Amino acid sequence: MSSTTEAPVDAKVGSGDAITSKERTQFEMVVRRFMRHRLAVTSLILLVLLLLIAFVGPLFYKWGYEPQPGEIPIAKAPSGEHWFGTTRKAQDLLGLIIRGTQQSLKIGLLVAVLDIGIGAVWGAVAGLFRGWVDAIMMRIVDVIFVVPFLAVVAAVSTGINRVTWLEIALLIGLLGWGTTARLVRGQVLSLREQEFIEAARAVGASNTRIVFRHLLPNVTGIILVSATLAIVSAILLESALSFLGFGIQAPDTSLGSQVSDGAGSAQNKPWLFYFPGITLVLICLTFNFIGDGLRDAFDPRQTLERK
Amino acid sequence: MRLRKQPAALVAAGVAAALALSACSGDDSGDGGSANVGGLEACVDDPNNCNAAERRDGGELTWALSSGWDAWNGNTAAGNSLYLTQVMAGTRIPTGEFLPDGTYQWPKDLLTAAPELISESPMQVRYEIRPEAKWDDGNAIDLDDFLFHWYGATSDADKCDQELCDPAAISYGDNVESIEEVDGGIVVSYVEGYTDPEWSLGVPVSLPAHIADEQGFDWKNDPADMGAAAEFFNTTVPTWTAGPYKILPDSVEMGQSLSLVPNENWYGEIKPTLDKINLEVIAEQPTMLTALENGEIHGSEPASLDPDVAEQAGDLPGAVSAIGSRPAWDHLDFNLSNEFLSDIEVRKAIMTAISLEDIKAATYAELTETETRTNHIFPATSEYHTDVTSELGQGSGDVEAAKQILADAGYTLEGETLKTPEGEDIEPLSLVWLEGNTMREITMTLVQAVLKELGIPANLEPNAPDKLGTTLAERKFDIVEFGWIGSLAFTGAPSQYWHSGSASNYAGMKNDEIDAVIESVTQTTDLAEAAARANEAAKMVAEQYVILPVVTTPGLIVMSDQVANVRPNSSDQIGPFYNMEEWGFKAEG
Amino acid sequence: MLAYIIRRLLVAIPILLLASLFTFVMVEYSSDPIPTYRQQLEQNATASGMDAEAIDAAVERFKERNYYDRSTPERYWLWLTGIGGDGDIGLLQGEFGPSLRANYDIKGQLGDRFFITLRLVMMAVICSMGLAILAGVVMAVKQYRKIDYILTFIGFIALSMPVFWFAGLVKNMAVSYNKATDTETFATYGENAAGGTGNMTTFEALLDSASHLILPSLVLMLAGYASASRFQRAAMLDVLNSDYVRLARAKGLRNRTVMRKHALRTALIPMATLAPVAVLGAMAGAVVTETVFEWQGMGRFFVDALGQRDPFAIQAFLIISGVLTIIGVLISDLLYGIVDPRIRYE
Repeated sequence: MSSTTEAPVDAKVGSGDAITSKERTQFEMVVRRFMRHRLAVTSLILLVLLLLIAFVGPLFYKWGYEPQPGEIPIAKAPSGEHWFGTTRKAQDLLGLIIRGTQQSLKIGLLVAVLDIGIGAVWGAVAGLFRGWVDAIMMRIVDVIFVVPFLAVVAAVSTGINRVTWLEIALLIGLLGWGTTARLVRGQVLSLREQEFIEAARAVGASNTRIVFRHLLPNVTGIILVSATLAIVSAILLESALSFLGFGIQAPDTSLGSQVSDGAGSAQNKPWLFYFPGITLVLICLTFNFIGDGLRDAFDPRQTLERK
Repeated sequence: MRLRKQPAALVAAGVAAALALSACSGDDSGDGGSANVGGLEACVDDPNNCNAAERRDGGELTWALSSGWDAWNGNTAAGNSLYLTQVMAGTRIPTGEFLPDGTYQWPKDLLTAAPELISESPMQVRYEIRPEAKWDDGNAIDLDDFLFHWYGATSDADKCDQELCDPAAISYGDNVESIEEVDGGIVVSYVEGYTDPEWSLGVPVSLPAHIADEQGFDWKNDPADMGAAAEFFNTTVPTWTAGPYKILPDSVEMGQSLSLVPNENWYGEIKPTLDKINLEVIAEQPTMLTALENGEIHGSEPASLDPDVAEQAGDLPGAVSAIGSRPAWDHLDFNLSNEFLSDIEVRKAIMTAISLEDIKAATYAELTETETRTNHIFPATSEYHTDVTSELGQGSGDVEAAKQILADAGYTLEGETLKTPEGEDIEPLSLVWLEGNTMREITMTLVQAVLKELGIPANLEPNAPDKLGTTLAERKFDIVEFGWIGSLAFTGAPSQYWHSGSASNYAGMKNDEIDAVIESVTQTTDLAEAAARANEAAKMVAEQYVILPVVTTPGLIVMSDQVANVRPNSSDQIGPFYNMEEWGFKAEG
Repeated sequence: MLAYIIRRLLVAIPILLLASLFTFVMVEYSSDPIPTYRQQLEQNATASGMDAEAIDAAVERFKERNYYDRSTPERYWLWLTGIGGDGDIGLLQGEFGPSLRANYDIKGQLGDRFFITLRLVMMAVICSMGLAILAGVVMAVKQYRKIDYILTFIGFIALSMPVFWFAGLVKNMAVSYNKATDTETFATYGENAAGGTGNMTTFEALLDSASHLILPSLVLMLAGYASASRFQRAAMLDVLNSDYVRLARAKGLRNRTVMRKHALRTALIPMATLAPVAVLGAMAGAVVTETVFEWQGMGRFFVDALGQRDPFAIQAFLIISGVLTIIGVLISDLLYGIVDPRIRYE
């Protein structure tokens, strides 16, 4: 969430004094439009709740995520003592999910920040300059594109023996912004032909100004959709890596590794299957809806009467 | 149900190892317990005859393997693998097998009588082949086949080009003096002074020498040709057979699937009834189980125990299953090059404090009855088994006694931290196991807790599959848990595990007395005597407090209830494949 | 245009080289197969009957066979050119190098597996893109109506599910269906029935293929469809809200004409970018899908190679995906020019 709200803040800071009031109106308009997207608002509330549970919850909940054989019963159904049941490794499942949620959220958010910070700017600059700058920049994107995630993450994760959330997030983030860059570039290529950019050039606006002031705000919609997709796909990619055996390993945990651990338990230990799975789907859903709400709210060309 | 990957070498070199390294890659027990796993309970009391039934004629049976094979010649290091052995079980020359109850059965289909020791010094063993025993093309199984097997299993470059031959084992071949045909029997003469207590197990013959002749290899005289022949057998889909089945060449997808049809020239007593057996690799156990439920396959014996799959297998309508022991066993090794652990009193204290009962309760107990391992060489079911660890208090879980041992040795507790007699801190111990093996993870968590009670710091450090080898070889662990594949043919084990010159002596034991006893194990032709010596060595090793046996690891077998005569066999590496000619579908229903 | 394509392909060569060098170094430094090989031999020695000398000799041969007796730069050069190798290595000579797995023929495997994966990927991409365009347009045109919400919700659920989890669900449903109808409509693993299709008629073989293809395609479609439909919706909305569409409407053009001639065509631009990328995405997705369904395709090849840390096999997969990616991206760029007349390549 924090990452997606940065976009409007940037736009505001980047603007001159003279038009501050106008910006504020635009920002308020965005908020107002966002508030009208009921699913997005519900998702936002849910996400805040999830964040609270994940990061503040451990202070109040009795059990951690570590296995405590002897202390915690093995693979028992939910009870008053263990709300979500326990795992085969004598862990409290809720404690485990709280930890997993933390790790998965951290991965998703860091990836989103990297995705926007690198990918969007990269694509905008390339699309704007065209020519040899564009060629070189997009060839670099191509190099990154050519290397599949899985291989690199797997290779590196084996190189460092036990991979942490930060390493996974950095790997996905640093290698995963190509799509966003390509999309933004495509949009910019199309936008730069339009009159308002030519107008800005005509009045002598600098390139930096054109990128941040005119181009980026106009591709915010596509960036936001892309960023929420990046969060969700980072979380899902981590789960796939876990499934293939290259993700976060015990003793640490992530929602992805819990879901892949529980994927075989649907019939005989349903709590191991459903609780982590539902949590993961819920997190992904909230990000998707928030992204959707933001997209609708940010679209500068969206007119009020369409609703 | 997370996917587990094994390093290349594993598949290349014998996936039996996978059994040990990855045993129980899933998780441990469940609340259903062994009660809901069933249909094959009879296998406990009557292991040799359970699931026996009249067979109907015909039927196509599909059996899932856990992993593929890379090559066709198991005599080469590159080809040697458990899965190749299973794939070839129906087409190889029958050379004898361990029955599920652990007794050895010499090959009645191949020989007229059990192998005979006709001389002790030099050792000479005589085999008499039944005249009916022939390759499917009508060629007799004869002296040439014995010679071919010998030449392919030596380090003698004058017999076989080593680059091409790539022999998996040479201790047999290097000690053979000659092989001759005498009075209608094959006599294998060994070099002077060599003894092998296991001379009665197996028959040293495997591949059809006449096929090598037909291919134009002058293998008897030219080592390069011998090597080329070994290579030929490694890369060529076998169209020949000396077993109850033959491979359908068109059906072969290397390392993935193949089909077997009956060998119409099979000379054995029991004839196959099935029209066809399909062997298919399904690596993922939940996939295997779904396929079984959906009727796409008829059974499987997965390489490792996934408790979820085991439980679901027990609940599957129309299927029978059992969780029983496997030849693999887990143990804790203490690194003697760690300064702190080099003190025997410390090792004694730790082994005393560790509770094998607690470990069992936290791992397999609710899923199945498992045996707490008390002998490094022999499982409790073996006639040679003696308990060498319990009387030493190893694995008793007596923390107070352990603290006393440490106190007596001059270690002091400062608060909750143990100090050396010199008053120094103790470096945290690294506890190593194969990443993803849940049972070992739980075990190590318990070990860590016990160490904490003693005031010894320790870190959990699971290793990726491709890292464990390096960690072991370079001794970069303090305490490691891993598995060995045991075998009822045990005489090679002591020297591999404990001899000061062995590369697999990961703990780094160096003890001349133990070495001497180990070497004496093979210096007899009497198996019982060899076992006694192996037990003596095990006892001496136990007194060193270096290796703590933990558990004989169990495994699952599950199959359709329509299948007849397929049963688990923990005594033989190839498991249920030992009696493939008897496989079939039940006559009724 | 042709000059442009040639130029792009020439540019692609250094890109591929860089990427291959990068991954080669990654794979090279992440693991050393020699001690692993040795340890496995040792661990299995009791059962296999191998003794210490046999193990030493086998390890030496293993090193030599896999060129581990050379340094990393030498190995890379060898992999690229094959100069000084045994004839089984050298990309320029059309060889991918030896596999750590004895007798595992990398080139032959890839040849067989490519078409298995292609069948799956094409099926999934065509279905998912078709559905996505349809759903995306409907959602945009009916923005904020019930159908928009329902389709959006379905899309988001699809977008939020781990593939292997969804696959489990689909399999369970298929098994239940088979049982309820007492048929063998759906197969749950493999690309063909056990025992092969050798003794089937063409029609039976086709039917068998279909019953094996349907579940994995459905699973592989999931992620592709979901994201593509979101993009299509976003793009369509952008266009619908643009000035020229409003101008077209203002001119009094019929809604249908506006949609077809103006809106849809422009809105397909992001899809044109996406289509080749979707194929690549599906190839990547096939890694998990093929694993779950035990398909012996490229994805499974890669998972096996990774799991076994088999460097030349990993490299082979990477270089092939690299080539496919470069072609895919080039096609995407060319499509750009065709669909959007404002962009010209010269």
